[in-house]
Amino acid sequence: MPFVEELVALLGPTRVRHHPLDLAMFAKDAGIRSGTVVAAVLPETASEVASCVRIARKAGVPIVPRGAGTGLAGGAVPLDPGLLVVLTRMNTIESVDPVGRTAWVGPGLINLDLSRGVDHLGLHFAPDPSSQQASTIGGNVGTNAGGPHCLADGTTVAHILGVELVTPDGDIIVLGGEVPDSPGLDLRAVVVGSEGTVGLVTKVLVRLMQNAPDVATILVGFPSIATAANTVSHVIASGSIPAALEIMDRDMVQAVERFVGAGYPLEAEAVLLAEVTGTPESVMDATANLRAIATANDASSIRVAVSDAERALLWKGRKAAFGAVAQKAPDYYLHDTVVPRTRLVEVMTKIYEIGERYEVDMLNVFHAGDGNLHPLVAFDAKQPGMLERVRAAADEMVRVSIEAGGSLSGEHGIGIEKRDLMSLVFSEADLDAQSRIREAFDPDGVMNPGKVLPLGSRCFDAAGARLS
Amino acid sequence: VSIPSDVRAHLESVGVVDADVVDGAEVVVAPPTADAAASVLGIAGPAGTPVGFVGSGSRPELGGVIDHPIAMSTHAMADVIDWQVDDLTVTVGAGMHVGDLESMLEARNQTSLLPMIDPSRTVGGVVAEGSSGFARLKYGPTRDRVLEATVATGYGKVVRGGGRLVKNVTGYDLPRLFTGSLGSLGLITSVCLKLWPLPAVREMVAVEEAAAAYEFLYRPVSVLETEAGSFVMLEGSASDVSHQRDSIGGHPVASDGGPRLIDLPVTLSARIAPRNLAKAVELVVALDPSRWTAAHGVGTIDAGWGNLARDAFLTLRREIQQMGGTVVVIRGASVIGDVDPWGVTPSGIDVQRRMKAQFDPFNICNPGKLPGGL
Repeated sequence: MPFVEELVALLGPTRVRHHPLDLAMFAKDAGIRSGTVVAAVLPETASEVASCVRIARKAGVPIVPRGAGTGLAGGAVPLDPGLLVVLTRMNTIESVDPVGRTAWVGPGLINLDLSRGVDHLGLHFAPDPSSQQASTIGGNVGTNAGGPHCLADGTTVAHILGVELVTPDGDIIVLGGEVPDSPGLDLRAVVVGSEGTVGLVTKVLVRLMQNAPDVATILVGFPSIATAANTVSHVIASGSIPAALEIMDRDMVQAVERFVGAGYPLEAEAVLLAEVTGTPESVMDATANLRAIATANDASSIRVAVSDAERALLWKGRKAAFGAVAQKAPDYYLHDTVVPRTRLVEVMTKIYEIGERYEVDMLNVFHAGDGNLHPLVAFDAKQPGMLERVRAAADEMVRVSIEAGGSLSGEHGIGIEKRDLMSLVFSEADLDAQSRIREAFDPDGVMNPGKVLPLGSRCFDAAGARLS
Repeated sequence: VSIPSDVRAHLESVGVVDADVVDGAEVVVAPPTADAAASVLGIAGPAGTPVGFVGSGSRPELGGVIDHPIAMSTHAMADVIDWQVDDLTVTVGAGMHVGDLESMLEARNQTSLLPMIDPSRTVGGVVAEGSSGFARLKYGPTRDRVLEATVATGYGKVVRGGGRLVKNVTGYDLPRLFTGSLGSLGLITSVCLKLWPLPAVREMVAVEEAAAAYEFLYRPVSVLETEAGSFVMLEGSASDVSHQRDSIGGHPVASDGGPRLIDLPVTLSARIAPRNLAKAVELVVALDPSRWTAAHGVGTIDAGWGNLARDAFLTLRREIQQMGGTVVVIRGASVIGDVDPWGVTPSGIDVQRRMKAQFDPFNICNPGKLPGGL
């Protein structure tokens, strides 16, 4: 039976999409590249996923998992004509353990729906990417997603205790679980952030965090990026790690204000959005500490949210940053480099210089607390030569980050977008080792081929001798 | 197995430590660099000579006692490589003692949160075991703080994964893969660790009921039950800690109080879903351990005996396994009498086997230490 007919026989006609319009829609994620989809399937169980894998293997078609398609690095874009396994229908909270503070959930569950679904137990899921109203837990696992609140609590990998994985052979295995420190190698940790290259995650055991008894959200205006960044450094050096420390530059503040009207100070060159959480005493202390450090760094305004509504509005400004940019230009290119926090000011200065030199329209919002930069270039791809200019500027911005001891991605992943830059960060031997990790899961290279690692990364044979 | 002459000649050039004796080894070698370690593995591999890795030597039996003609010690790689105080990261050689690292960090009000109950252990040993300290409830396991790892692989190459950055998702997670791998893929030669600021006050408080304190408190550092009573570790400003302490009716304990090091002829680690902890504690305590510590919200029970009957052990293991947990023998498999240290085959054993073969193609790195006979 031909490939697509076999899928239809398994899932029925409505859960197998192969109309050209569907295929065009599924050929892209939120990044700027598109790929080629042979068919997109919408399975509802792990065993359906396993059957789809077996059908694709038999037909020799590569397999690419996809959640909501909010990824920015092209992770869910099939490079070779492939089967797209869309996991959004597996979107339930299957069980919650309020004592162990964990839950088993489907990979298609939307990030924000998880926290909403356990709020009545006084719990939440800590990773909060800006896409959290749309992105799925499975996608968060795939990219090891971050978000503002990862400063204190870590990225997704610290919040995933176990995964059910359909292997490239179509077997269903469970890695990790509610019991700590499973004997054997920690394969669960490797699955998180593997961008769909080691198998398909069909169920996730998430760690849930207690909702804080008290919280303060503080918005501070500064006369420069440097004074805002210094405040961040001094706060952390003072011995307190807030829940979040976000900086936006003047252009981004202007865009956000026009979009949501959150009351951000329009005259400031930089705005710091900070959040401290904990017991009422600790929140009071941390707020006073932050206020003192901000004042010493020439803060032009300090506003502490006095109600839940005001807090939500301040955060809405931050989370709507990328939506706000859509008003400026039809396309945007978003970076995700990381630098040591102490090099922030130096690297930002260079990034502004690059933006000016290439004459691109750049706005900045970044996770200052952990040195995760997000220069955002707004542009119109229809303008001749524009995309090339944006890409060239992007390349330089990545290089200045790496030169400062930084890395390619803090939370978006490598996908196809940063694949060929991996050798800026890793040696040949390092990339060979990463290929080995991948091959242990997928010896035949059928899962999301062409992603994460540059082609030809595998370069040593068993004895460590160079492969010809 | 004995050491072929060409391998032995290479060991001499790297630096054999005649003074050190490691059970089961003919030769102890202490490479001063990752490259030297990789060169030994690169020669031992094709010769089929197993290599055992040694830190402080506190866990020789973990994963089972193995024959390894070559013991490779990390003690010549014990330096601080890069301490970025303001970025809260430190990179150190695997042979550095945890106690030395913590004293150094404490002078600048920082901590690695590595387990300090035995300060003589090495950073590399603790990371290779994947061992976490009492702060795990609040701060998560050690593996979440290993930002970068440099390793000498079983195929004789030096490989680095991760980066010296507190946030980074660039590439596959080699540091977490090597954390807890028991030297089965190669030798960890250095790691970069994420640091935390020390709180103004950290205090161990005795409480009546651990489970109630776990339920009530917001993110305590730890909630522990031991043979000497229940304890909660609190931290924050002085007034915050005292308020938290009063809210659970606790009282401070003397600095030598609280949980003690468990290192007895029979030492077990029982692991269970946190909601089943009380039941598992009952099963362990029924066997009358001399010392034990159970971590609420984490699901670990460490317990030690002078001796433990084989039948009693096997019954305990079976009952804990029936609840979905595991009982790992940390020390004393031969005292109990011929028991498997793990008692389980891990899920995904095919992938485990292929991963071992990818990094240790000649099966020379701590062979047989992983569960499933890998």
